[in-house]
Amino acid sequence: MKTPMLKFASLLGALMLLFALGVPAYAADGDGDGVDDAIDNCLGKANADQRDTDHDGFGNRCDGDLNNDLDTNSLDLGLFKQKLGTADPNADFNGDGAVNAADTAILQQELYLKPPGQGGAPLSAAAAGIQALETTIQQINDNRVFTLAASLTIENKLFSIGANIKGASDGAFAQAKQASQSGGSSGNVEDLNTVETSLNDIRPRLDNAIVALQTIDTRLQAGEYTFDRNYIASLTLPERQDLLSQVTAAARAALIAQFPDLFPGAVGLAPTTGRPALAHSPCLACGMPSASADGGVGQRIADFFIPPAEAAAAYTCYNVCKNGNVWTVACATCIFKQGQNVINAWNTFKNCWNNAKSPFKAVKQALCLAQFLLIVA
Amino acid sequence: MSQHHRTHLKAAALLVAAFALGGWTVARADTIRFDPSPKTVNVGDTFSLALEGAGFASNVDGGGLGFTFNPAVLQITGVTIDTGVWDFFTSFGGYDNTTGSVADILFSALQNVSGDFAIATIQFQAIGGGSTALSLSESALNPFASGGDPLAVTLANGTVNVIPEPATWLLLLAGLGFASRFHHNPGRKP
Repeated sequence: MKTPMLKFASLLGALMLLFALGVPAYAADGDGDGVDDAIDNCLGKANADQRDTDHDGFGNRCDGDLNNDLDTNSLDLGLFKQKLGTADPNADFNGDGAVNAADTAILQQELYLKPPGQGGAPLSAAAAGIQALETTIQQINDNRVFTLAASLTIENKLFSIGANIKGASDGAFAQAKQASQSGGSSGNVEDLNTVETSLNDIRPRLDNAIVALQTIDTRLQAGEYTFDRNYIASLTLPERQDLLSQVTAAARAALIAQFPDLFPGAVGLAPTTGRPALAHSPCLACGMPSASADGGVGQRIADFFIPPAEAAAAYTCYNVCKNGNVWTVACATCIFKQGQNVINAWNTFKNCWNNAKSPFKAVKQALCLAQFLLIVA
Repeated sequence: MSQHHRTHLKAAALLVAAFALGGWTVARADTIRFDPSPKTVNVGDTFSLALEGAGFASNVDGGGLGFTFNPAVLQITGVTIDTGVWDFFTSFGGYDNTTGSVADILFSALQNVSGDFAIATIQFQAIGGGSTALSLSESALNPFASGGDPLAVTLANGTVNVIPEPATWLLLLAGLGFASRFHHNPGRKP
């Protein structure tokens, strides 16, 4: 029979062992729906069935983005109103077979003006996204093959991380704005601290993941790692030519030898039919304009972090990420740097906030917030 | 009917037609505007303007607006979005009286909203003499939309004229008087 002291010692020992093993601080299944956070398509909301009727990678339970433009706003509300009283599967957020008042409440209270796929504690989606990134990176390194599936996972998770940082920041900013304008009678500033703490927790892992992606990129260029057939086939012919031009001569020769039918220009075969549809892929760009002058994935990513003062940097991300390059290390690095802008802006705000003294403390703090919003919002 | 009466009738018909045409031209469809505008107030006055939609033929599911103003002339003291009209969602991004900007007045409705409708009431305080435009812009966060499609709207900027306080008027008048006197007696040393 264990004495209380022995029980305490056992518990302490178990905790120390967990700590020593480096078990992540977040739960593996935060919403308790039986689906690991790393692959859960709706974090923070239990959806054991993982219903994703529009196949965009985000479970219906947390996907109010009915037009798949990565925002949930008045355009989606208009579509939703048309589906009220029907059995439209995409607008049926709770999966009860009908679009009704319950779905209206979910859209209104949980999903509106948030990117799809958000939910749970602040930055829980980002933490889970990084875990999935780490798993994917490990698989690439183990197999020395960069697969289409890995590419899509990286794309999807990078989006989740970016969207979650922005979403978490937005939520915290809204609380702080309320606190500022009400003189502290409502809202709070503590959520900002929570978001910052969470960002600081995940930053080293995100750093490591990006370094690992850079290493993979280098190894692919050198021919130490290769691509799978599906990945090459998913590229257009010009993109394949670009790929050949970006690897070493040895790697180029190996690719052409491995997939002669996919590089017809290089071996004199007839052109293939080009890029196949990725109907059920985690669909980052579904419903958006093609990645041209003013649209596409890169632009959407840039939109997350476009404050006036940072517009130039954000558009650099657009240039880096467009034209199918969203999986690249350069794109990931750019997104990360924009994420840093959010952190830096909060640090500036924190100093300003703490230095604000009475009299007129609320006014000074409101100015801190205005300055903050000019950078981040 | 006499020639005199016919002339009067023609004139009246022309007047009615001109009125109708003028009215049709002024009341543009799908317009966002301030009311009243232009507004004239005195320095120190507190007042409010309605931000409203006019002439919307289709249902408006929601929209988002911001505007800028001259902070040397006006200060914002409050923004209230009409939750009776916008029953689904409202959100306000805040205002900055140092740069003169109001951000992200966001509103959405589950009920049908069309024709003329209220959006928000903006409270101001006039702090300096002069005139300022209230320059509207759309917010991309919640675009004007109807039935899932973007809705093109006309943004009619507002104007507020603030009359300087009496001391400023007196100073101005004294300056004018001095200049006038000097002008009429060019040979005399000031």
